[in-house]
Amino acid sequence: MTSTGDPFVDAKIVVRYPQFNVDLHLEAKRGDIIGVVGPNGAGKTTMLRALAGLQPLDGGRITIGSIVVDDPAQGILVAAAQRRVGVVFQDYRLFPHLTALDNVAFGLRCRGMNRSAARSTAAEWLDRVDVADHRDHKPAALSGGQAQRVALARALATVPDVLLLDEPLAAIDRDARQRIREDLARYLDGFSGTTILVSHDGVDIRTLAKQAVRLENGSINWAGPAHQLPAD
Amino acid sequence: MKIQNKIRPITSALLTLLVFSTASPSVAVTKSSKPRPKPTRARVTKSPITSARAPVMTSTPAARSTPAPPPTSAPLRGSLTVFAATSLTASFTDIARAFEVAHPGVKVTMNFAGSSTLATQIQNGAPADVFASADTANMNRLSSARSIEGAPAIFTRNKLMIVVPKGNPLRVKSLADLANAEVFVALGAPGVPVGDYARQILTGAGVTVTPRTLESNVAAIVNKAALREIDAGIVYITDVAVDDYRVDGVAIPDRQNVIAAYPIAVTKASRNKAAATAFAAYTQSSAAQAVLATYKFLPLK
Amino acid sequence: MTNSTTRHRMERRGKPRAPITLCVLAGLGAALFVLPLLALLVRAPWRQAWNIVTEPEIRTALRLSMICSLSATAISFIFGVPLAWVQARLDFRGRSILRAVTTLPVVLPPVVGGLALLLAVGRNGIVGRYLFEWFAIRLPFTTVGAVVAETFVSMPFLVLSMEGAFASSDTRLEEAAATLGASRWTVLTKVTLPALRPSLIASGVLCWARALGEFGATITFAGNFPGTTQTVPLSVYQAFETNPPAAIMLSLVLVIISLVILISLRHRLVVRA
Repeated sequence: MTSTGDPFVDAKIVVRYPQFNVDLHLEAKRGDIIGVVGPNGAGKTTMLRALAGLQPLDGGRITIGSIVVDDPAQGILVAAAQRRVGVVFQDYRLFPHLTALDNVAFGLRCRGMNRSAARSTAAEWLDRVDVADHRDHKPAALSGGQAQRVALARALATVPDVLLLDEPLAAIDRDARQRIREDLARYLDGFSGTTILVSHDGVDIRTLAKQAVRLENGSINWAGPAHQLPAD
Repeated sequence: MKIQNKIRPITSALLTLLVFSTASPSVAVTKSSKPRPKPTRARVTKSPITSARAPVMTSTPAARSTPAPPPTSAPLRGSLTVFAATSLTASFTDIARAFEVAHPGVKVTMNFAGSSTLATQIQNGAPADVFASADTANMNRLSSARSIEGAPAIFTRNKLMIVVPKGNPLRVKSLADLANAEVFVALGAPGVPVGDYARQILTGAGVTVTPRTLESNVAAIVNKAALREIDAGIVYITDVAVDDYRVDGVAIPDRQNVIAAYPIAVTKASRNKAAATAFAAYTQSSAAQAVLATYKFLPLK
Repeated sequence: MTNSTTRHRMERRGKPRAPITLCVLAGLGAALFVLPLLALLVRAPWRQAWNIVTEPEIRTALRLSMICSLSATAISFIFGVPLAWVQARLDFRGRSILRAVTTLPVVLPPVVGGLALLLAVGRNGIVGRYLFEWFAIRLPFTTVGAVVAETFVSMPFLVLSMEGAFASSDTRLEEAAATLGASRWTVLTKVTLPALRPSLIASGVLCWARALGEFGATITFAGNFPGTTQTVPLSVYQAFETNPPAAIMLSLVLVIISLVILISLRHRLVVRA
């Protein structure tokens, strides 16, 4: 819907709530960076969770690559752990008892990599996001910006097909926001999969995303190139 | 998050309290009967017949000598607490009822447990009026501690027997069989009369037994045999007799056996010495002796 | 006038004065615990203390108590943590009944527990008879039996405590782990349990303390024999009648050991989120 060519991610998401329903159709190609903007309660988080596998659909279907990961009508539901979807949560959710390095290595170890290989790969990623100095620090000792980058490295290290970011700059101080936004743009540029980025801030979308959609009351009411996103 | 902050310390504190309150050793084996009513002093009877000549009946002062038996005309009153060895459970319950019938003003409360447990309780201030022990050793503990009024009297005798589960599954026939490692044997603990007698018997017979458990009263041994958890134990012949539908017994030949002498005495701290003395005397009466005989206790001679 | 106003204002600025009623009640409550301990210390036969404590029977009872209580705690962890997880996280019919049953030993008199164990896994028990007939396994009157009795009464404390911890633990971290490819087992062992370490320690201490002090179930189910099943509480019970100075010293040793462990873990016992 937002770009031409065969979609890599094809998500018809229907989730029913008591107050309203989320009912939207999103398509994205490899290499797309789609910004999702909308007011609170519009259904942005539901959409991300459904893609990640943390929220089962009530209707519709999600396909990632050529694999159907969620189809209630057919009784198909692939668990989050089996999907190649990386998530950077709004509250980062770094494991408090592990160092930054071990946090990043976590996903690699889950996928079967041995300890030393996982740690050296993790070290490379931390380097790429410029937090190599803090690799042996626990999350509690990191600043907001550093934690965000570790969370990003942790999600990217597993080389997912889809990267989801939920309000990536919400917890960053105003002064640091511009610089970190630019850094983030750089990191996302190097990612070859599909990125879907949620933010309430139009500046984030226009800076970081290539395409944008606006979500309101559970459905998409605007879609187009990110730089054309109406300011409001 | 805030609610969790408050609830978890409370839950932990409650759990800690619960842990330490339930971990105390419950006195598992005393068979106390109903709660004991507060002891009342015997009151002066003001009946017209006896007013002039009835002696004042109090239970107070520490008499230095054995109090004279009360005149038969003055009725006994008040409550009486009798601490008796477990092996006397059935017989003393009957005797206590008979005593209450003979003396309607007296309410008897029984406390049955191992004799050493009872002696310890009395030494620690338990409110007993009468103590009936299964051996003289435990009675002597109290005599030495000057907890006894006057001299104890032997009121009955008993002898010992091997108890086995119904059907005698391991075919135990004699003391020698108890030395077999495959036979699980239960004996009384050190200080418990039935245990000390048993060890006396085994030593005298030259049999070495390694018991699997040492129980603090004889009923526990009988119960474990009834539940078939032990293969043999040494108890009194009266225990097997009273529980013959649950367990079987194997006799110990008289030449290997010991005679258990049961002393009874009034405690110095008794608050109803008149009734206590009467009860102690009653156990030696022909009525009580007949009851004891039905439970297979040995006659005094 | 100025003086009293100033004083009044100063009082309000500084630390609040402790309310009298609460302090009196708290003091009496504390006395209930402190007094018996004090009495033990005062009446202890200090001159014979060393001789008594190094007597072989005493050392045997202490060693046996330690072995049994620690074994019971280990078994409680192995089976109790999964049970707590199931009760907290899985939804199934009969869950509340299961919860009630696993909590029962907490409120049941220990002797009742011991009797129930005899009827279940005693040599003549409904399951025990097969243990005996097929495998020649006999639990009563063995050290293993003492461990079983202690586990029966102490595991529910661990389950109760850990169920609360699992129920209130942060599932957000677990979601993050899932998106990184962690299996449920990995999530449990690498994310949930490490985050719950303070709860695990507190539960373990509660469980161990309960096992150490167990008397009624042990004496009823496992029996009482020095070296095999006569743990310290049983030993104190017997010594109380035959050798009171030893009973006091044994009690003191148990109290001191327990106090040392509890004090060293005091920061972990009141769980802060």
